[in-house]
Amino acid sequence: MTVLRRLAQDAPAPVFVARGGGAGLLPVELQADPRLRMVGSARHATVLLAAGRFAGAMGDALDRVHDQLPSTGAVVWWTADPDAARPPSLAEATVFGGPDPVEAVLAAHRRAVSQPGARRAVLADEPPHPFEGRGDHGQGGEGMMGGVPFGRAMAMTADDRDGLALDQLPLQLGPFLLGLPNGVRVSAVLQGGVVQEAELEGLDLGEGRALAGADATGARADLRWLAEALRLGGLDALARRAARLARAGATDAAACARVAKLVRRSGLPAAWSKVGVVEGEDARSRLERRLRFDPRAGGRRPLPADRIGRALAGQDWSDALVTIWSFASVGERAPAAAAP
Amino acid sequence: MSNHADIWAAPLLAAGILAVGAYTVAVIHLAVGGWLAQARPGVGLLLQPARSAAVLMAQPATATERPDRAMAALSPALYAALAAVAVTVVPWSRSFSIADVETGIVLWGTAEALVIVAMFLHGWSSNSHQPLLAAYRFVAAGVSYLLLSMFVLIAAAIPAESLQLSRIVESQAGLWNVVRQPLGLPLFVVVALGSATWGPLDLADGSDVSGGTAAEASGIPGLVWMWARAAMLAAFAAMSAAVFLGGWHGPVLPGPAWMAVKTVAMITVLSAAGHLLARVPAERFVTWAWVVLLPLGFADLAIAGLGSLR
Amino acid sequence: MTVDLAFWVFGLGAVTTGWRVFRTASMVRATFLLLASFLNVGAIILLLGGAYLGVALLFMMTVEMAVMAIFMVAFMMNPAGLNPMTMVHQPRLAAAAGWVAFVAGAVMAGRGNFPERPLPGGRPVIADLGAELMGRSMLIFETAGVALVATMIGAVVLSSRRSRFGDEAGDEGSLPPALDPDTGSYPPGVIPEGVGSGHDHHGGHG
Repeated sequence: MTVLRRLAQDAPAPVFVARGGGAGLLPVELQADPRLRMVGSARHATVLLAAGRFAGAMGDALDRVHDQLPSTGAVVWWTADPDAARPPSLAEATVFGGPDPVEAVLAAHRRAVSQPGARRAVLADEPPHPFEGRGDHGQGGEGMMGGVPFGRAMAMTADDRDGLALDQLPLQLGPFLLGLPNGVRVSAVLQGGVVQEAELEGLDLGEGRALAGADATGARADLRWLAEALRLGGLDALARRAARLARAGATDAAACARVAKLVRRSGLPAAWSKVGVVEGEDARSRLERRLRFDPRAGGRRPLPADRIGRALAGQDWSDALVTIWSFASVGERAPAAAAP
Repeated sequence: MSNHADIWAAPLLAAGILAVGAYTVAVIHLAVGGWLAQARPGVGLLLQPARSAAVLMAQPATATERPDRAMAALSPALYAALAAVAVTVVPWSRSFSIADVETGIVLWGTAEALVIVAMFLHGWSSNSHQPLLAAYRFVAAGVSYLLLSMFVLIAAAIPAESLQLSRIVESQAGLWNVVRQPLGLPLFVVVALGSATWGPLDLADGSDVSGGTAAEASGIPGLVWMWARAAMLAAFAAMSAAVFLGGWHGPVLPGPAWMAVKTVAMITVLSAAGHLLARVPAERFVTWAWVVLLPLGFADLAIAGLGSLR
Repeated sequence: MTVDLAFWVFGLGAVTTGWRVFRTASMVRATFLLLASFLNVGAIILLLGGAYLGVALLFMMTVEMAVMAIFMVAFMMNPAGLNPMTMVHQPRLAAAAGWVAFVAGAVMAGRGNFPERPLPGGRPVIADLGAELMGRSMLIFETAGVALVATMIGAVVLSSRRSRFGDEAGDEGSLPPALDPDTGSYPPGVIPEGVGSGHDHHGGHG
């Protein structure tokens, strides 16, 4: 077993990053370091890196993600405000206040791999809709359909765009999902893979100090946004390259132009064309605007939540994420027009 | 005709070939990715897949609420077994393949079809939304490229006048199939990327659905799934080397060495496609597969047919 | 000897998985148990020497069952069987019919006079099959193939909302059935409010 442990300690640490208030898109740059590997699901991670402030609804969401981390995993809290309110999932986390948390994350990974003490889950392990058996009035368990299901609600059908009647699934995803800006939660009704209706909700990101370097403008901000867009499109190696350029300060214009050329050749703009058309502009044109890395391009408009929610109806789920991310503003998301 | 391996040795041989193949895929994928990301990978690259595997082995397997336990255990094993069944028909030299059956091409097609079942089961079994969504869209794409693969493989079988893989390789003694059926290999690459959910066709394990069917898989089941995907890609690379690149034909080196070289070349091509091409949205791929690729498959079959009339 | 053993294994496998199809509450499991039953039958055909037919059966049944599983999840409200539901219709009639069929089949198998005419080994089975398909039976298979393709395309065109007249035209002239059969259908030309929203009705809710 020790051979395995030693091998595992030197492996690239799989990290799930949860961006909270005051973090901006700064944690995106961490994937430039080859000793880390960003994963999209907390179940694949050994370290949960919580960056920024998590209070209220953000704290509840973080508790859920914390319980998805395998029991041998470790939690690192990267914050400029160590005295701020902590959700229960961060109560035993390693606190890190400096500019570059890579070493702290690697130390947490080594601890998680070599000393597998089980971490306690924060939320109680209870099913949300326990089946309650037969009811007093004969509900549950009789006849073809079992009468009125007593306990777990059954999906109901509704017409879809082809005139078929498919089951509808109401779903709430976010705020740490790849493709969603900081603090945004999506409540959607899906039929198969198609969004029937969706609503974007901005969770309260709190007030306090931001992480050093969280605010970025110009090419550096565009590169951070691009790195996440590339990860969303399945281009992890190009995402790491964009993150490297961002981390180096985004001063090399020729390197940025090369990245833009690789992105254009990868077919990502073609995959984004005719997706998320709002005010006559689709996601591809928003992508092309960012790929020009123009420092003089005007300030980004804040995310108009209800306009985007309407634009998502009828789209495939992955196209919906592309639409949302194509609107993401580069710094902190301004809560304008965000209806809870 | 050719020597079959002893029936008791066959599973071990297949597992051994796939273990080497999957590791090669992992190393090449990391190397190409590192070069593209302009990171300095260093010598540690050769052991990196083993290290990542060790991390997964140290993790416990997570459990969701009310999963389908039988299917959750069955699907990674089924996927790995299908890669093993698929690689048994590949001829490694003039006289050796693990199971040189008369219906080699159709057996390969059956393995491909069962991959769709394995992917769907993997997404279904964890009772979670993102994996089910990923499995759904994968089945739509899978049914679309399955027909294409059969056309392309049958076109390669026409000059050999046999469905047997060893005869197909022998028929390329004068001219490789990649030259006389130019559409065949690019279309087969599309099928390979789909069956291993790799790169532009990573619809079942995509990053836009939090890792897709593997989103809730961690620990040893997650490791077996990752390994099975890499093994499937290696099997497809070996098959395309045998069917399109002339198999074990080659001047100086012995047959198996040429097969290894050609397989590694195909793995590099598939890996580069994975790193350089963005994921194709499922609906667009389905439309594209039926409207563009399938007619190209017909054309490939027609070219092969016309070529055999002479 | 190995062949006999394999036959019994596959035969028992086919019967057992076929039985389990009706005992499971999960429709997805039922679909894949049915697939397992077909795969066992395909293996038996391989044992009988039908090299191409056996593998082709495996291939086709796989794709059919995969598509069926998709439809199960799409259209059934309880595909995993997590809510208790009676999964069988007319169980007594079906059991009676099953017993009758089993007895008839067993009598035929036990008392039938099957000829003993083993074919010589090493026959080019696939070449023979190909010659038959492309020779004497070409007309049958080509007609069947074209008819199948025409049916598939026709089904897709007719069921698509766009139909063959363009967008929105598929709905022209069609009315949803009346919600309450006692009050009858709507008068001609009247399209009621809320067409297409099927949120309420659908089965057995008190």
